Amino acid sequence: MLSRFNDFVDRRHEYAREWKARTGGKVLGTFCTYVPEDIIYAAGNILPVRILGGLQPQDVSESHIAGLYCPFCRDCLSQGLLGKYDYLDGVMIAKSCMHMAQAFHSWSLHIPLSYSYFLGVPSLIGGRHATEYLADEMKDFKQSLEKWTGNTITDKDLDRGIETVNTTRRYLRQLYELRKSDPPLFSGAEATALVLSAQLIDKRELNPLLAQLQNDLPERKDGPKPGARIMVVGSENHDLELLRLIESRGANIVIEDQCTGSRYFWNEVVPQEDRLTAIAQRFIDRPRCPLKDVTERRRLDHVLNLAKEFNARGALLVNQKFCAPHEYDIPRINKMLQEKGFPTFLMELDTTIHRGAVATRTEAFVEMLEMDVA
Amino acid sequence: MATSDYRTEPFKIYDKAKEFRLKHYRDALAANENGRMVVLGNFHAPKEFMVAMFPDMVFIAGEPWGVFITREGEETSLPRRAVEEVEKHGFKQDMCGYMRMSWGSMWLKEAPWGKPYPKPDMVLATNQCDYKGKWNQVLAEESGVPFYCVESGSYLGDGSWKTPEPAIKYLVNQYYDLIDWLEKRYKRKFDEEKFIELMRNTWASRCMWSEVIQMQSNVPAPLEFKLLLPFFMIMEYWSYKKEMLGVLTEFRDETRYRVQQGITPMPDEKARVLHEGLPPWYALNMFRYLREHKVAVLAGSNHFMFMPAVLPIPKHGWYDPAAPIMWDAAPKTLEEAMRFRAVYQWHTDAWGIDTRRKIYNLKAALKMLKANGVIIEQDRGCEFFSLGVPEMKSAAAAAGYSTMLYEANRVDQREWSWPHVSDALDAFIESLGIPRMKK
Repeated sequence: MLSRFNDFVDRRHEYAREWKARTGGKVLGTFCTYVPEDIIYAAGNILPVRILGGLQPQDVSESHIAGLYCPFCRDCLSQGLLGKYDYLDGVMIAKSCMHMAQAFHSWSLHIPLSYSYFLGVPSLIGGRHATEYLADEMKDFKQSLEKWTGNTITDKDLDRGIETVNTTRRYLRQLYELRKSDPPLFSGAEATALVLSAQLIDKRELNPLLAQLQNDLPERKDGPKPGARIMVVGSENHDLELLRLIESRGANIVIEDQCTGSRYFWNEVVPQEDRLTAIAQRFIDRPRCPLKDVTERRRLDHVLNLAKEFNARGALLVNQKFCAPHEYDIPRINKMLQEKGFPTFLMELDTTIHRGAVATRTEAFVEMLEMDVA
Repeated sequence: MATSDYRTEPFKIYDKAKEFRLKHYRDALAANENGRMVVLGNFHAPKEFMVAMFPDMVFIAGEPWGVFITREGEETSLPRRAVEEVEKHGFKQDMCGYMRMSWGSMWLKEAPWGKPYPKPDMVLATNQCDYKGKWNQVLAEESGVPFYCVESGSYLGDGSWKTPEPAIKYLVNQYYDLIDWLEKRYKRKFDEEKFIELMRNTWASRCMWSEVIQMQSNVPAPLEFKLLLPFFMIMEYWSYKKEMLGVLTEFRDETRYRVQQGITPMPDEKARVLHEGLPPWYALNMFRYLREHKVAVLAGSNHFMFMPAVLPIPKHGWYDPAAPIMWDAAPKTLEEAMRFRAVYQWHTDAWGIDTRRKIYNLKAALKMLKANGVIIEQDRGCEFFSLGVPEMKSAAAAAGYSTMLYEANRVDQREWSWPHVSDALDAFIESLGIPRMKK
């Protein structure tokens, strides 16, 4: 019942091509989950698709992005340069880290498309003017989409866009509740496939499938076996094979604080008269990416609450190699979790992974949790 | 390319500029003892707001602090011990080099010259890249002092010179909040007139700097990269000070004199190149190596981007020298002063994150300075300067310039490999038509 979401991830390019042929719509590649999909859905027949890496060795990005930038941004760009995203009509980024900004710039320079947009998003999101500023940026973005598509986006359209994306968020949040049981009703790899599907598939088609899943999952008989309950905190990770490997060694991933996990959908847009302000406010209130957790820290409490709420026994802290924002937060999160009684282990992510090392380290960690020797 | 010989003469104002730098560090290290307020932060932090309220305050920017440790702490191996201390705290070696020097010095409670690390009263930053906000967040947390941070907003990413109004409004609003926060916290009135004066000084300094950089297009060049370095610091740190405006005036006048008299630091200039990015501060001998090969290093395009005057609508492109000082366009009211500061901060930050701007600037600088090539430092400890570097190199090469890229870390000497860099330099020098010297 969950395998179709895995297929969505594996066959994402085929899906987008088929969607485009079927609907005659435009496909917009996005570089970060701070992209306001609500406005894109309001614009009509546009499919936002998160650009992901191919998780294969490649040699085409090195002349565009320095090796000291993270493997994820280089892998994403490589997919564009290799023609894997030849169906895209446009690309956009919401200001996140400099590494992804570089991938976006190089993409725009070398893969000309009819639309390219850099959306300003504040990093100091606790600031008094952040919502107003972000709403101003959303207004400019809305106008640029109107110019690109030739359609005016009305409040009614925005309401429809918000409802479409909010529905996905709501289903995912409700489905995540089913991970609280022991063992959880679905695995970490399956959860990530669900979230990634939401970043890749037309939500108007996805939502009924999520509703069906919500109905069927409680009856599931072939779910994960009992295991050590762990949470994952850190960088983007769409390597489902890696997650399967970890879970095949006695661990059950029960929650993630990642943009490929709960951070993507955790809160909904709360309606306001000014729709763009409402959309902006959701991003301000969203569980923070480390880059947005400047001045007063909020992530530590959020991560701790998730660990407790989902009854995790330990945590896997992951960061994409050279990912500066996570390199800042991980030592603090590591210290905090250990002090609160959650053992941790750290893993650096690259385009490809040393399977043997991951398996051995996971087994050791699970053993430590089971023996309660942390 | 120049082939004939020219006159040379020492650049007199250079030592004066260096002395200001040393005086700053003496003041910084004695600030606690002397009861002066110490504010930590980064170069582009809105420090002028503090100055308008606390004229006696000592502001210590983390970037030059990293250079200070690297250059002055070597005797006690402080640079190495500082970065190792950061690693002991769980932070990785690939993170910002300046930041690691700053944190390491803080955790070791140690500064160069046998002095302790200055205890701050406050941290003030601008969140210019992925590091600046979080770097200073940790400084404030560890020191247990208040932290205030501002940021620029959107970056258009399309290489255009448009100034996005939402971003300027956002910055100006943050400045007003900063004033409000400072007034409430320190129960002291913000001196608007003083702030306007500081911004007018900044305006004049930037006009002056633009004029000097323009003069580097003369053949022979009146100055070289190394001679510009202490003035770079003056511009970044104290361009708002009247006293520095005087120094910069001397700087401009002496440079003008050198142009008029045909005076150059390199009388036998054979080729002219740019150095992009900042140098590894412990290995400035690489410039001597270039000098021995008669290669004049003129400046880097960041010299243009960080400090020129900012006109509301650049009429003649970004490199408008804005000379003589355009006092009519200088800010006169608080509103204009706020906007001026926001616009130049935004353009500086946008340069750092917009590859197209960097390419445009590099090509424009190469052309304007009549350069033959460019050396680009790919800094392993600086994302801000590293953004766009491979694209810049490709663009310069496609435009017919000799190019060289070398990897280094400005402050972490463990990343330095002179054999590799000198090999690359040899090949680069040959590409300029200059035979390599026997080693």
